[in-house]
Amino acid sequence: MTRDSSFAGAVVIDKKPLELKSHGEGLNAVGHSVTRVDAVAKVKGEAKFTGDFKMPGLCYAKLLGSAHPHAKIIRVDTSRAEALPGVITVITGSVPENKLYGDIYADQYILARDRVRYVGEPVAAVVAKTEDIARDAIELIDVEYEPLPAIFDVEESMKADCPIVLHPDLLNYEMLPKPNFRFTPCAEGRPNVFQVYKCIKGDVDRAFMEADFIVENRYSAPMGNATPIETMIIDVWLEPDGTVNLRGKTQAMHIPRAKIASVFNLPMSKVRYMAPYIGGGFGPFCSSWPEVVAVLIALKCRRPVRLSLDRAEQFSIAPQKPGRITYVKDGVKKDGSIIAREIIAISDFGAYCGPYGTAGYVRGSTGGVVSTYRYPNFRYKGYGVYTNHHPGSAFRSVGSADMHWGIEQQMDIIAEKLGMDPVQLRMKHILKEGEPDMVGETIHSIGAEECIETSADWLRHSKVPAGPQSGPWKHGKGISLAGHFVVSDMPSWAQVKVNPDGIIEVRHTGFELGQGCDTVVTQVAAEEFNVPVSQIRVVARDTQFTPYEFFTAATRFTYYAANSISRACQDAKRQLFALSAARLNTSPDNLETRNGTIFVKGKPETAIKFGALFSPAGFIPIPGGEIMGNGFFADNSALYEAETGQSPKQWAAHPYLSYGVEIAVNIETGEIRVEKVVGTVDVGRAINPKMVEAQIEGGMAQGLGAALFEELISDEGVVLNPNLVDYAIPSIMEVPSGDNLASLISSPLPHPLAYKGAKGVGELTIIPFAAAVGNALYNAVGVRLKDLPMTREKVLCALNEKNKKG
Amino acid sequence: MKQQLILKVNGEEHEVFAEPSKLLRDVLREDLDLMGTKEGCQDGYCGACTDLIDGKAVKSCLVLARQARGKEVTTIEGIANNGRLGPVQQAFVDHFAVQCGFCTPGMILSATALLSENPSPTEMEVKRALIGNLCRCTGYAKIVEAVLAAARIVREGDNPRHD
Amino acid sequence: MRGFQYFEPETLSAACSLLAKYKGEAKVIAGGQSLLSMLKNRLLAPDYVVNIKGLSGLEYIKERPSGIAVGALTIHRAIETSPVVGARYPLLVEMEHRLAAVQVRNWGTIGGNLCHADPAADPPPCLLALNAIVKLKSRSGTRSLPLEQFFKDYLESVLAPDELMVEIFIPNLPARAGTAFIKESVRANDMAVASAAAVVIPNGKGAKEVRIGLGAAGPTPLRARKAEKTLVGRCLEDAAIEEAAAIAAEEASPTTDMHGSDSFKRQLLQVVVRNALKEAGQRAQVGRAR
Ligand SMILES: Cc1cc2nc3c(=O)[nH]c(=O)nc-3n(C[C@H](O)[C@H](O)[C@H](O)COP(=O)(O)OP(=O)(O)OC[C@H]3O[C@@H](n4cnc5c(N)ncnc54)[C@H](O)[C@@H]3O)c2cc1C
Ligand code: FES
Ligand code: FES
Repeated sequence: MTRDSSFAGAVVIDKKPLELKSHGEGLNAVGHSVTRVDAVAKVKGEAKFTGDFKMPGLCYAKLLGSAHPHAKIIRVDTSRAEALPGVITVITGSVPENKLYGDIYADQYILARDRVRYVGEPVAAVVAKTEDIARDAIELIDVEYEPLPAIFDVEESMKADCPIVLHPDLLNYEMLPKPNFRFTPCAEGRPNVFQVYKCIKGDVDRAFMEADFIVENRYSAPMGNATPIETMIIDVWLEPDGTVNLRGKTQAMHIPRAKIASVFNLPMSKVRYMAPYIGGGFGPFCSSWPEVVAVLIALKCRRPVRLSLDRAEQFSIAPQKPGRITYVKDGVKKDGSIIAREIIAISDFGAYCGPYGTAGYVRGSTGGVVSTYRYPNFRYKGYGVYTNHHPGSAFRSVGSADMHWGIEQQMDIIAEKLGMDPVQLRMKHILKEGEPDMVGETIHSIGAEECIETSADWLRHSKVPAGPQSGPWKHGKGISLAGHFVVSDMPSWAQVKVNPDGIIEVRHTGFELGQGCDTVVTQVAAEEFNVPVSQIRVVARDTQFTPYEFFTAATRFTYYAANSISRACQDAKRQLFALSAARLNTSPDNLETRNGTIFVKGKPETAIKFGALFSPAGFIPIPGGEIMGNGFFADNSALYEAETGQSPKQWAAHPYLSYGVEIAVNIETGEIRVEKVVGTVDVGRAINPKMVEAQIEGGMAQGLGAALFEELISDEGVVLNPNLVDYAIPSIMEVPSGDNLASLISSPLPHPLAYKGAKGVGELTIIPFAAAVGNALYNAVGVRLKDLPMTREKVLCALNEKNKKG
Repeated sequence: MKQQLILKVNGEEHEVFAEPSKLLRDVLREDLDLMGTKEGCQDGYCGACTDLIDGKAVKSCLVLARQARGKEVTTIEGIANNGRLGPVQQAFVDHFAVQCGFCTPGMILSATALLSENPSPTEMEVKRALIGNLCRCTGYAKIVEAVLAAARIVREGDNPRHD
Repeated sequence: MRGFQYFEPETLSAACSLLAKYKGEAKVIAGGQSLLSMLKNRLLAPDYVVNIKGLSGLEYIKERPSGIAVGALTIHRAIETSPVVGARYPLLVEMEHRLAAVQVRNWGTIGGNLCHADPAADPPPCLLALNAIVKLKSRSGTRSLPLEQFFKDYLESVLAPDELMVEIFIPNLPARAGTAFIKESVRANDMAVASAAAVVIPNGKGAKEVRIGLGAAGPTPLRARKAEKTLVGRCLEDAAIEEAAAIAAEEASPTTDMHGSDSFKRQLLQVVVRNALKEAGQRAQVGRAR
């Protein structure tokens, strides 16, 4: 298989997957659980995060959030704040640099001007000598508002005749070109809808008529918060030559960098962004917010400035994981085949979509929905809708977890109606290698069957005594399955420098969010150069020194960067071999490298060290200079048809995962305890199996939080639980461990376009967890919840209802 | 207004001048450059700021720096011995109990305090000791595994990395 | 957090003098586990803060002939791990296991917990059921009052601005008394959504005396006096317990908030009271001092 690494044209794969026995088979570094390269610095507390850097003269910025969900701004009076000693400047939306901006639609001002559309929308910024003074000053800004009617119900908001229109100018907003994306503002005459994505296969309506029965349900998932333990923080400082430097918490520095350049009319080369370690990402740091705000502040105060959000602000000012409603309607035949499935997904992206890139997520969340099961007839409609809630941000799986909460319960409901084993029903519908998926793309490397079989088997055979067995505690088991996607259309560059001392330096711009990207990068380079991982050094995340990479999100980094880095290694090796060939009296393609030496294939005794190619002063005499390999990888899709969403190439790859859970439900208190979990994942090939396990376990815990507790509760747009006490993410006590947990990786099933077949895993692991718990709840006590989270009160209400019905 | 304060941190006495309202966490980070103590919330809930006072785990964001006068404060920087990782640290490395690393110093200090009190904890005892340390990345399983492994190593006195 | 003037008195009387001097403008800090969150979130902004954490002589657990005396500055962890408390009031150990995280228990004090007067806190229902007496001191003197009279409203007690809590006295429990504490919370050691402590003092087959303390059941922690009465002299059979639990839930006045509706909380209260009574009743039967 060859791959042309140019932007043009999508690649169609026609290769059978390899059969391998283990993930590390025949490999030196890849496929082995190599120790994380960042672990020692992190356990010593030496790993630096943005807040750990000090800078002389650093000032502190704080944002004033709107007090109203929807209002006109009549007047902003900053005089009292400005008079406070220690305040350097106060900035409002009236500054001339303020303008509409966004990554897809330009729909939000950097600081609100004229109008606010959510409680917490930044209206003004204060810069002061200390954070405390900035906070004091924020309280001294007087804003006069004229409240407007607000809308919080997303289904009301999406109606064509919704009387409240959030963005009357939506059709006039600047739309920013994005490859393979179709803009659909105000689609279907709905003024608050900024994006619709449709996908149609076959004739769903006719199939519904032919079906023996229909199953139709509405599911919902609330607005939530990604809750990394490190909160948002950006430092900005200016150079005398006008260069704008940023250091901060990001998953996507090139996105804000480009946006900053265009918004403030700066040459892109004069915007430098560097990122240290990131204390957890999970999605919300993929956009230009709040970098654009921070740069506006820095440009106005012309001092080094830190814009950070504390935990409360992270809940009340920052964008949030959007709420989503999913209607799932299935037409089923008695023989157990689902002949038609219709999904309508309505996402509440709140007040703005521009700066957060959320118009793209409307389609993004379907990547796994269309690539797991086979339905002869399929219709999907996804709506991105404005309301007066907080703007939506990306969050692990961009809404796919919320949809699978419905889809994967629906599978169990259907199985029960059919009297069929739920695993069987799923198996019957799983796509096969080489089959077209629901959007017309051929599926490769689909390990879904093995995932669900393994999980089901573990659950069946697990002999571990679970928790309380008696009295009010009832036990149940549940299973679920999902696929996800590795996004396409986003390029990755890498560089590899060979040092005279044999150290291979990899330069990349993936963000170390905790997933282990620096370790993956190290393993790939060690593999390519046949050296121990200790010979690899990583230089990363500085737009001035490291090459372009699209974001570290959408489950893409391993797939893209492993490819670009291996190509950079090959490029460097080509140069090494070309330089050594004459010396070794052979042709370059007759050379190989191991442990920092080059030798004639099969003749290790001919080895010369890399260092031998360099002069003592560290350069390579004619024609060399130094050895710097370059690598590029992209995987482009073909634009989908507007009405049907069909295209032969849409996603880069699809990983799969199945969860099995055993829960205990207390019928008196409604408490659900997740007693045991098994998660089996298909990642093509695991580059570092322990790190893949770690992704399963982390995603599982987030799924558990979403299943049982997590919900941003708001009243008229005011967040009522903006803290870690009341917004409950799981503590160590709620999550199974030890013998009650199995994080498993299915047999290797290399993807033909991926480096050594490694597809990626990140977002996938949250997706089908809540549904597995929902299925287990039904199995335990016979009630089905459709609205997340499954709080005790909801469980009790459902039980009461069931008892009433008898 | 700033006042003199003498603190004993990681075995050394330090003199700083700080507002009396300053939290121990902030004095450690801002005045003593001990950046291993992290800030993750204003609620005293996340545990990223966990340090030891006289060997006991506390949340340093819920202690006024002045209240630690005359006591032994231990931060993550005081856990490795002459550059050699402590047993809990080594176990976190070996068992992949670290992801983003933001919760890690606090986790390690909580676990260290546990093992000094109870060298043979059960799985449940480990979990109970770490209730106050939130981690959003790992799902905790590998952390539990690491602490149990560290306990074995401490008990058997065989730190695998000794040279 | 806003700045403040800070005092670190060396003696109890010096502390009392400071509080008298800055009456109403000073705030006491003990462990700060509750106070500092309020200061950080700017719910309070006192001009003066008096640190009593370092006062000597208020951190103790002393056995007295008629009970035990616990110094107000005793940390939660000391109560949890005290052999004396473990032997005589296992209820308190059971309660402390569920209170927050060990970091909080290592620094937070029992006096601070009570003075914070959070209706959802764990020690109050237990200490109410144990008939605890609190000793308050100011420059003008010392007064003792039953804990039941201490709580006034949400986060409010009868403590005068210049008063300090110095001791909690817990009277002896009769031999064979059974006790239990049950807490429902979102996560394992969160603040209670509903909690109940029960003390059952048996007399032959029946109950001589029953005491029920409720947490997260209204603006203050409270005793479920009516429910207690229905059980006196009765055998603690399931029906009697259910009846008492239902009455206790009616005595409570929980309010709807983000953790649930008032009716849901009543339902939970009924369950925790019932389970606490059952557990305490069983322990009383087997004659363990539990
Ligand atoms: C993360 C977290 C979780 C928690 N979870 C729980 C829980 O599950 N259950 C529970 O019960 N509690 C919980 N708490 C609260 C905690 O137990 C107590 O409220 C705390 O220990 C109070 O003690 P302190 O010494 O820290 O008091 P401080 O915070 O110092 O003081 C609290 C209040 O009491 C006053 N005060 C303190 N001591 C005295 C005194 N001797 N005389 C007069 N006034 C005084 C102070 O002025 C202040 O108003 C939690 C706290 C945190 C931070
Ligand atoms: S910073 Fe979160 S508990 Fe201290
Ligand atoms: S490793 Fe990221 S929060 Fe624990």
